[in-house]
Amino acid sequence: MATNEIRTVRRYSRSSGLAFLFSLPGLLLLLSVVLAPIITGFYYSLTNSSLISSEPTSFVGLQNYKSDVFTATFGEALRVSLLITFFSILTQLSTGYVIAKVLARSMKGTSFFVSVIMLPMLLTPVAIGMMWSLMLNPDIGTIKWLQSFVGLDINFLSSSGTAMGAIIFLEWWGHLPFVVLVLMAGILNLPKEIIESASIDGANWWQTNLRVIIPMLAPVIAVIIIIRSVNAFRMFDTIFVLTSGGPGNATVNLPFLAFKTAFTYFDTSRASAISVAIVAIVMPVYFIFLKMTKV
Amino acid sequence: MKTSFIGKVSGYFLLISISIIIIFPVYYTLSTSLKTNADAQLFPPKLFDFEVTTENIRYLFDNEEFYAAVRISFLVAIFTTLLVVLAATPLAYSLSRMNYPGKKLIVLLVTLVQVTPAIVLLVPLFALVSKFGLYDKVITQVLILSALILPFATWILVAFVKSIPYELEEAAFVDGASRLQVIWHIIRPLLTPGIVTVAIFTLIGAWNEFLVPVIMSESNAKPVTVFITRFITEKNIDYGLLAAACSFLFVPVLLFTIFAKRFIVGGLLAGSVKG
Repeated sequence: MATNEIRTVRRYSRSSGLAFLFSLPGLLLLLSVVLAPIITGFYYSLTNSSLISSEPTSFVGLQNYKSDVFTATFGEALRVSLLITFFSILTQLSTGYVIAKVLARSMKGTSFFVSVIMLPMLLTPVAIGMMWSLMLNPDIGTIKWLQSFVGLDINFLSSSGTAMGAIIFLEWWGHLPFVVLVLMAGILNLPKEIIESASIDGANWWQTNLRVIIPMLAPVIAVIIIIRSVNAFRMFDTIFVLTSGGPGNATVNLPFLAFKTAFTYFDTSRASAISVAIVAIVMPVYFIFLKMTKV
Repeated sequence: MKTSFIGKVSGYFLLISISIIIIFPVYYTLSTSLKTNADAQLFPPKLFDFEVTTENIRYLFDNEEFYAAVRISFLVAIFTTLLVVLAATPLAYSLSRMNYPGKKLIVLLVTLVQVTPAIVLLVPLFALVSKFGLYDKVITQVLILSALILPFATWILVAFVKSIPYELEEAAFVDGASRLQVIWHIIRPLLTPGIVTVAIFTLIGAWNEFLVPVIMSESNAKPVTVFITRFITEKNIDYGLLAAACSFLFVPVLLFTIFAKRFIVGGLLAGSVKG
């Protein structure tokens, strides 16, 4: 213990100049691209500035928050964000668990299937979204054709419920690889003896999974939920190209609302107020991330 | 555990079904890019027995606007990768092996980027970028993307640095080596797989990026991801042409998946097991 402290103190004094030099490029990037806009954004949120108006900016206090943050539109967008996050993670965990269990059996061809399952995570989301909008075309789309085999004819993008379904499906599709690969690594790291002894003791398939394997995977599942919720909450590309937030505002989530306010209505101050509110909403997750960080 | 015959059959059934769900949109994109516009808009669609044509691909590459977008995509991806590797590698080493004032602030900022949706930063950044005359420039996209990718890259590299036993460095210090010598001769070779992993993730991430360029570019610095969205507004979408442009985005990534699978899986686990 004592030697440890001495070592730390010596390392600190000998190398803090070098350490500062090492972290300087990263720090400069973060200060200019992260800290500067956060401070400016907070300032904008208290003014009436706009990207197109030439009138001088004036200070309006909390006006933007009163008129724009606590509105039905914002609440609706928050609901859409939370629904996408909740249902995409729920479906990914349930399907991902079954797929990961099968892959962890290391049958013949597993490596090939891992390569295939990895793909969605790497393919350009905006291009995938564009191609799905062709496939979902209500007149000549491939999905219409596939539905005809089971006697259905749903125009997915025309009603709010099915449009949300399409968005959640694409979020599921695009990030399933991450969930499968992390779960698979978690399953492969489990002590085999415990699982085997459970089945020797007469536990059936359901009992082994629900009472033995899943509880042991809890830390891995927690990490997946936290990382995925951050990503699903910020979903943007697919919504932009597939539904543009429609029909109506049915698929406008918080990032898309901030984008539209800033770059369709050119209302910087309102968009900034919405952005500050988004930061406030993700704060709990921020503290969980800081807790998990050990450097 | 031995897997039963029924277990095997149902396992393969599941894996093949999920593979079809994954491959179908990709196959649809690649095959449509090789169809004539008439074939591409047939209903019911011809999935396999269509007439193969390269007219879409040739038309695309004769199109100067597309050619310019390809150039921008490559420039942004390559320079972002360079900058991320150059900034994240020393940062990761200093975070995992050194103690210095300001370290806490860096961890706070890095984590903040990780949890904050990028749009929150991009709204005020757009105003700053316009003010300083940096709008519609490659360098702007490179700097912003680098900062957004930096956290993920840093945590992957921190995991890699920590997997190198500290005793190796300590032994070299005892033998009288300086910190820089230790880094160059011991850390650098052992960290190479980590750096390759980060480079691959950054290349793919920057290549696929849409939100930053759609806000920060107009005509001079428009990458392929933004170029393809012009097809949305057109009344008569040219299916073959759009599919060819999307295929162009997919092909480098498909090649990466074949040749760099090990790094991608390893990096994903290193980045998430840490958090």
